[in-house]
Amino acid sequence: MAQVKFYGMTLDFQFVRDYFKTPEFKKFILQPYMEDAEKWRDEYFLLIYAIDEKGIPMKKKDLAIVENDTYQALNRLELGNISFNRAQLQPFIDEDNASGNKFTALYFSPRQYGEYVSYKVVAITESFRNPSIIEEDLKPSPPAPPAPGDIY
Amino acid sequence: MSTSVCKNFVSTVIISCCLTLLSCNNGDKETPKEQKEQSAETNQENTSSKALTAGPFTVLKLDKQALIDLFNNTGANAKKILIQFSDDGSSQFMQAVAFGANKNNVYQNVLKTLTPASTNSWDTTGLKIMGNNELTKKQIKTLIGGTINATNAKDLYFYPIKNSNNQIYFIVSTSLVPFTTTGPKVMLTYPTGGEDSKPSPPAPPCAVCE
Repeated sequence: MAQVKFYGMTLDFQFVRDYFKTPEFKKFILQPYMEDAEKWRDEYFLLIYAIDEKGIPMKKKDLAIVENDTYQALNRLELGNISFNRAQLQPFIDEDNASGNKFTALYFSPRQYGEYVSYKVVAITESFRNPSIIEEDLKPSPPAPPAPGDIY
Repeated sequence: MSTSVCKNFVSTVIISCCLTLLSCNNGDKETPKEQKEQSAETNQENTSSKALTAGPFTVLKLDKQALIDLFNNTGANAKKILIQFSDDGSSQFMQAVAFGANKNNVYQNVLKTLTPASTNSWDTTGLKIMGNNELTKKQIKTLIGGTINATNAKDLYFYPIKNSNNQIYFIVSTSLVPFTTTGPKVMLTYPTGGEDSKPSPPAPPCAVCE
């Protein structure tokens, strides 16, 4: 059986704070990418764009790979853009503010969503203790309906 | 959100992250790895002579009826199509599907599969970003020479190519240009007069889609 593998990824939380407080920031969009593949071993990672109110990218950034958190898909998969908008980010920002900027990263963990891979997101601390109470399940759209507030 | 589910997930995160703390420190790069593409047209050997991954690309076809269906979905007002890559880990080629969408990327629940139009493949070295691609109604009307209907519609062929930002996109044409053979090499030949699909991001929503 071929391997189509997706990795857990982390994103510096300061990047999230910085863009969230930028008035023109609308949302993040995550995209899958692949390095050179080996036979029957495709491995996908994520990069992220900060998008403004007009849908124009403000910044592009790699996410960090978490080597031992992988999801191996066994079925056909479509590789869609994944949106992470202000409404979905707000609870993480609120929890971060409530405890005085404690989070160091957002952690994206891959899992199956129909014929797509979704990412369960929590915020984590440097010591990996006391991760956020909040979590969000990010689904690619299409085929998932757009998240509330997720149009330009 | 379920508290128990959250706790389980959090436990998993703590354990896995602690074990990989050292491997998690490559996240401060400001941009994806800048890898000079040897050539966006690094055309590869015939698939029969090279070990395949599920990653190589080929020319894909959206047949004319599928094109009509994407724009004539009852009650819809499609202004463009969104193209997404698909990978089943067993096919010779990276494949793709298309959705009709309005200019704000709100898609319609109609999905059409692009099918391989060749048995030869093309690939490129280094990073490959496989985000959504867009092709506007205006571009399609230019390609087929008029309104998208049964009279004008034609099969569309999607030729894979990589840009300087490492994004895979397509040159779209109504013509199928065969791969050319030069000695042991089989080369992808791009059509003239095609329309470029736009990787989005970074392409903003189309201001004039049709």
